[in-house]
Amino acid sequence: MKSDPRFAVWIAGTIVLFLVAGVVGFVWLPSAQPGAGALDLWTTICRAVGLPIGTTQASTRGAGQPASDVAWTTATRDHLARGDAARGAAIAATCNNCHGTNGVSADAAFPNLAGHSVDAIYKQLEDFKSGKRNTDVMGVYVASLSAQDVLDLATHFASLPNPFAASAPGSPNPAARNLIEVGSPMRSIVSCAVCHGPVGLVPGAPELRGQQRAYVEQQLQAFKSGLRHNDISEQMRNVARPLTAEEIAMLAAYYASFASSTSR
Amino acid sequence: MYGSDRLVLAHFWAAFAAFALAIPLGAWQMLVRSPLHRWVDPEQYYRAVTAHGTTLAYVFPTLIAMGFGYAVCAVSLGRPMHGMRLAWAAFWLVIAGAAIALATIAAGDATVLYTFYPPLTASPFYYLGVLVAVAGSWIWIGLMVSHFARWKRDHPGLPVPLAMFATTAGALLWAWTSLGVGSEILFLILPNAFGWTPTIDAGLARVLFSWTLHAIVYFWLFPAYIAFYTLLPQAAGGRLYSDGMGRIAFLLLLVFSMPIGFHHLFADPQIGAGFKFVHTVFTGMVAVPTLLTIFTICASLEIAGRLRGGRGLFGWIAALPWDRPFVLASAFAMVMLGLGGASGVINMSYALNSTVHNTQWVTGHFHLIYGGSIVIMYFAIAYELWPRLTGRPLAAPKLVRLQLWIWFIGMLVTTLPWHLVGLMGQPRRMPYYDYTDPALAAQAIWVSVSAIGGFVLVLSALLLIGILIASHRAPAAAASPLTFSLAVNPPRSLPRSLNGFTAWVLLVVALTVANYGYPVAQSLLLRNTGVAAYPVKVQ
Repeated sequence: MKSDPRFAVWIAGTIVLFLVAGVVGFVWLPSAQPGAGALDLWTTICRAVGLPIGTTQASTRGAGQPASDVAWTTATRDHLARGDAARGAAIAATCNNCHGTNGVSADAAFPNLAGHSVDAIYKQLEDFKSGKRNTDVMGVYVASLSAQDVLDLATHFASLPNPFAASAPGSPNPAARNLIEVGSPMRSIVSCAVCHGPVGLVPGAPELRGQQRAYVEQQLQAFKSGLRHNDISEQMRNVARPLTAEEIAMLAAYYASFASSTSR
Repeated sequence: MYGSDRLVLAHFWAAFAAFALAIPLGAWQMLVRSPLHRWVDPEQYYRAVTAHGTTLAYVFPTLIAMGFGYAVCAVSLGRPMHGMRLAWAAFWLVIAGAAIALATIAAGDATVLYTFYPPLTASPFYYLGVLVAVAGSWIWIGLMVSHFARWKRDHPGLPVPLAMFATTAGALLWAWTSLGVGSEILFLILPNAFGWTPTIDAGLARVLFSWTLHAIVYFWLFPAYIAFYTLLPQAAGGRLYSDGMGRIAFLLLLVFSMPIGFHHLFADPQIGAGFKFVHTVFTGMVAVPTLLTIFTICASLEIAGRLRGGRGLFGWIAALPWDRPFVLASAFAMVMLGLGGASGVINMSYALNSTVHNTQWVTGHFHLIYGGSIVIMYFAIAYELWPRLTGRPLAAPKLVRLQLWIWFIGMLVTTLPWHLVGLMGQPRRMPYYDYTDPALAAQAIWVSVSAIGGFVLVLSALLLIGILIASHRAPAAAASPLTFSLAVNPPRSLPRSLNGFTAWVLLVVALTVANYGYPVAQSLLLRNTGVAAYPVKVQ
C-alpha cells in the first residue's frame, strides 16, 4: 500500500497545536499574571509547570508558629504503625492513677483514653511535650517520656476496648444530636460526627462517645477562648467560637450520656 | 445476526435490568434532598448515589457498547464471529464484577460515590468488582480489534465498513482510557484498602482518575454516534452524506478525547496552571468532531427529507418520517447534545468553571449529555435491534414514541432547573439542604421541579422495560435483516489513514505522554505527598 500524506499533515498539525498551547500556557499567560513581572522566564515556566522549586517561598518571618509539631505525613503514619502496646501497658502505671486502669477515668475532669485512635493520643502527648498544649497538669508527666514511650503509651490506650462503642446515648437531646450530625451550616459549624465519628474519623480526632462531661465542656470553652490552640488549621477553634455556652454544655452532656458496657 | 443474537440480547437485557434498578434510586435521591421530603441519613443517600452512579456509569453503558459492538461486528462484516466462548466469558465477568461491586455497596461498605477520589476509600471488594467488570470489557476490546484485523487481512485494499471502523475506534479508546482508573485502583487504592500502605497519594489518584473520567464519556457516546452515522440516515429514508467525514470524526474523537482530563481538576493545586491550559485547548478540539457530526447528520437528514418531497429552506424537516422511533430519538438527542455541549464549553473554560465548579450545574450537565442524548440513543438502538434479536415485531409503536417523548421531557424538566440552582450556588454531592434559610429559599421551587422530573424519567424507564418485555413475548414474525446506511458516495478504496489505526494509536500515546507525563512523574517523585485514607462505610 502506498504511503498516505494525511498522516504527516495530521501529526504535524497536532504537534503545532501542542506547541502553540504550550507557549501560551507555560510562557505567555503566566507572564501576564499580575505580579509576574519580577520573575525571570525560567521561573515563570517552572511555576506554570507546577514545579515546586523556582517558586518564591512565602516569608515565615513574623508569621505565627504552627499549632502543633505533629503533621500527618507518610513518615508519621509509618511511625504510628510501629508502637508496642505491651510495653506501653508496662509504663502506664502513672497514667492509670487519673485515667483509670482500663482507660476509663473515674473523675469527670480527666478524659477517658480507652479505644481512642493511636494518632489522637499520640498527638496530644507530643503537643504536651512540645508545649503546644497547656502543660499545667500534664507537663510534669510527659517531660520524662522518650519518643518510644509516647508511641507505646498511645498504642496501649488505643488497644483497650472502648466500653461506650456499642451503646446509645442515655438522653438523646434532639438539639445536641442535630449539632452533632448536621452542624449548623449557616453559622459555619461543621457537624462533630464527620471528624469524630460515626460518620467519619480523621487523623488526630479523639473518640467522644462516653467522654467525661466536665472535660469536654472545659476543652470546648478553651478552644472557644483560644486558651487551647494546638488544633491544626484552627479546625476546633473555628467550630467552638460560634458555639454558645449552653450548646457547649449540651454537647458535653450528650457525649457523657453514653452508657458504659462495663462499670465506670 | 450470524449466530450472535443470543449474545447481543443477553447484553441488552442485562444492561436494561441494571438500568431499571438504578433509575428509581436516582429519583429517590432527587426527592429526599428536595424540600418535598424530610432529611434522611446521609449515609443512605451516599449509598444510593454510589449504586446509581456505579450502575449507570460503569455497568449499563459498558454492556450496551459491548452488545451493540457484537451486533455491528457480525452484521457489518457479514460473517459469523469467532471467539464466541470468550465473548460469553467477558459477559459473565462484567456481570460478576457488577454483582460484587453492587453487593458491597448494598452492604454499606462503599459509600464513596462512584468517583474514585481518595482519601475517601471503600471496602476493597468494591474496587475489585469494578476491576473484574473492566477485565470483561477488555476481552471485548480484544475481540473487536481481532475481528477488525482479520477482516482487513482477508479483504486487502477494501474499506472496512464504517460501523465496524467506528466500533474498533471506540474499543481502542476504551483500552487506553481504562488504564488510568485501572492503575489508580491497582497501585494506589487497593494497596491502601488492604492495609499495605499507610497513606495514599490523593493528588496522583485524582490525576489518574481524570485520565479515565473524560474519555469514558466518549466511550459511552460512541454507540450513539455510530447509530447517528450508520442507522439514522437509513431510518429517515435517505443516505449518509459522507462516509469519510464519519471516519474523520471517529479518529478525532479517538485522538482528542483522552489527553484532556485536567479540565476536571481546575481547582486541584497539584497540577501546574500551564498543563491546565494545554488540556483546555485539547478539550476545545473535541468540539470539532462533534460539529462535523452535527453537520453530516443534518445534511443526511436533509437528503432524506428532500427525497420524501420536502421543499424550501426548512420544509425538508417537516417531511421527515417523525413516526419512526429512530428519527424521533435522534432529534431529541441532537437537541440535548446541543444544550449539554453549550454547558460543556462553559465547564472547560478555566474562569467560568470557577463559578460552576462543584455545583449542581455540573450534575445537570452530565445528566443532560449522558442521561439525555446518549441514553435516548441506546433506547433507539434497542428498538432497532429488538425485532432482529427476538424475531418478533416491536409491540405498540405509539407507546414507543410516547416513551421517547416522556424521557426527553423528563430529562429537560430534571436537568434545566438543576443547572439553574447550580448557578444559584448550590453545591453538589450533598444529602440535604436547609431550604428554610432565606439564602437557600429561592432554590426550593427549582429543586422541587427537578425532583418531579426525576419521577417522569422513572415512568419512561418503566414504559421502556414494559415495551421490551411485551415485544419479546409477542407472536413471532419475520423481520427484515439489520442493515447499515449507504453513503451518497460509498467508498471503493480508502487512504490508509482512514482505514486503520496504527498511526493514530501512536499519536494518542504520544499526546498522553506530552499531556500527562510530567504531572504524573512529579507526583511519583515528590516525597511526602501521601495522606491518611478515610475509609467510609455505613455504621
